[in-house]
Amino acid sequence: MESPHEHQQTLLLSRIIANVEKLNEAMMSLNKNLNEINIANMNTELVSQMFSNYQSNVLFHLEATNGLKDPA
Amino acid sequence: MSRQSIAPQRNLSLTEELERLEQSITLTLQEIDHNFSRAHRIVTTSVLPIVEQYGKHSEAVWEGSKFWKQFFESSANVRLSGYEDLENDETTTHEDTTQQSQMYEDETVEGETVTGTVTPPRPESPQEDDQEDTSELESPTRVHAHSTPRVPVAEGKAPMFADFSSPYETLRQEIQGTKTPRLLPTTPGKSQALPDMGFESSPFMPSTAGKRNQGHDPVLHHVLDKTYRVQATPLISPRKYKPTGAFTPSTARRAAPPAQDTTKTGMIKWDDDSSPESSPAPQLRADIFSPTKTPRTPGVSVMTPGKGRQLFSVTKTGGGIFDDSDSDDEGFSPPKTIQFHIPQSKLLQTPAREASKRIVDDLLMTAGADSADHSGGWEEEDTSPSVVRRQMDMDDTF
Repeated sequence: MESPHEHQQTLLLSRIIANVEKLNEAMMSLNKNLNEINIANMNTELVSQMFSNYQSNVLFHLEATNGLKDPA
Repeated sequence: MSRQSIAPQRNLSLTEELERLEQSITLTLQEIDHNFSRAHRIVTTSVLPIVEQYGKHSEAVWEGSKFWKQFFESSANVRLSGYEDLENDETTTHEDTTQQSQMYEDETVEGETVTGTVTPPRPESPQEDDQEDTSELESPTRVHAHSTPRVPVAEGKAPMFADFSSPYETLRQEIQGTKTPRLLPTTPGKSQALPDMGFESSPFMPSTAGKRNQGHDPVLHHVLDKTYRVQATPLISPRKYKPTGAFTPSTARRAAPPAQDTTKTGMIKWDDDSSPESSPAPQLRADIFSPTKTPRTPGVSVMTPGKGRQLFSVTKTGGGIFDDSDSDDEGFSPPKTIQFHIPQSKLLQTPAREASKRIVDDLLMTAGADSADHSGGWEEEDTSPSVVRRQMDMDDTF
């Protein structure tokens, strides 16, 4: 005869499995979203790097030519 | 549960003990199930909407900075695109150390190895454009020995700023606390995952590109087992940038005595012109009336027949890296660079209107006012975009 505990535990395990599946799908969706956002943000990052590079180059140039003035 | 099982353990029978264990297992399973359910609920109700919101905001940020990427790309005459590197070899870490500072110097074309044609990398100055055109086009075998256009011409002579001790470089090293040479392999970290766009990426720094492997673009990101690289593809659209003014090698050659070594002359001019951006933009506008604006194909220089043949012969004899067959060919004139130009329609697509609206909205929101009331009035005023447009009209060339 099947013990009531075993039956309950089987039900609980199946519930857990279903929950884990749902959680896994949610995490996969989250990962996919984050990946897409990260890839899209690479362009922004590229722009920021170019700006910082440009800024350092301008600073270097102005320092080298003594053209750097104090902020007003 | 462990606390419950300590005290009454001796008095319980085996059946009771089994029952208690079963109950504890069930309780544990219920707790696990509850935790998983809660995790799923949190992810779906809290995290995912926030991530989607973050994505929308990131998109808005990108919309705002898109213009500047196009601006930089157009000014550098390249197209920068990130792509996922499917090939993950172990040499990536070593390459990172040398690729950090060469994001914009390394404008190699991937199509070079495939098609066999040579597309000149992005010129950083009119002088450089001329030099690289003549050298790389005529010597395809040399192309793979370097990735920057400056290397073949200045092999025997380093750029002036190469050994210049930049105060920023020393400051940066002081901040980092390391004087490690960049070519040493180091452990991959955050600083290597991101290409260092710092001071050493100056075009005047000595190029280490000759030591690098070809065909690998700078690494932008290491995400788990994926590697994202930045590919810089020179634009093959008509390059309408034509060197003019006092800094161009053609005029320098014209003014210089013909017996001089032209290669050295070009480099001397380059050294004098310590700043690539010193070429004033208004001078470029004189080349709008350039007679030929044919599209430039990779590996083929744009030639104007008959005109300036003498200049080309000077270049070829000075360089010494050209084939005999080409030197016999008298039908070619010097490689002609086309004037760099951005269509007016593209310039007008600035996000100035949207950006100014956002700024005003943010300010109003900070001040506690309702931004919806003022947004309409701001649209009607149209002050900032018109200012930008007027400026664009005045300066349509870079």
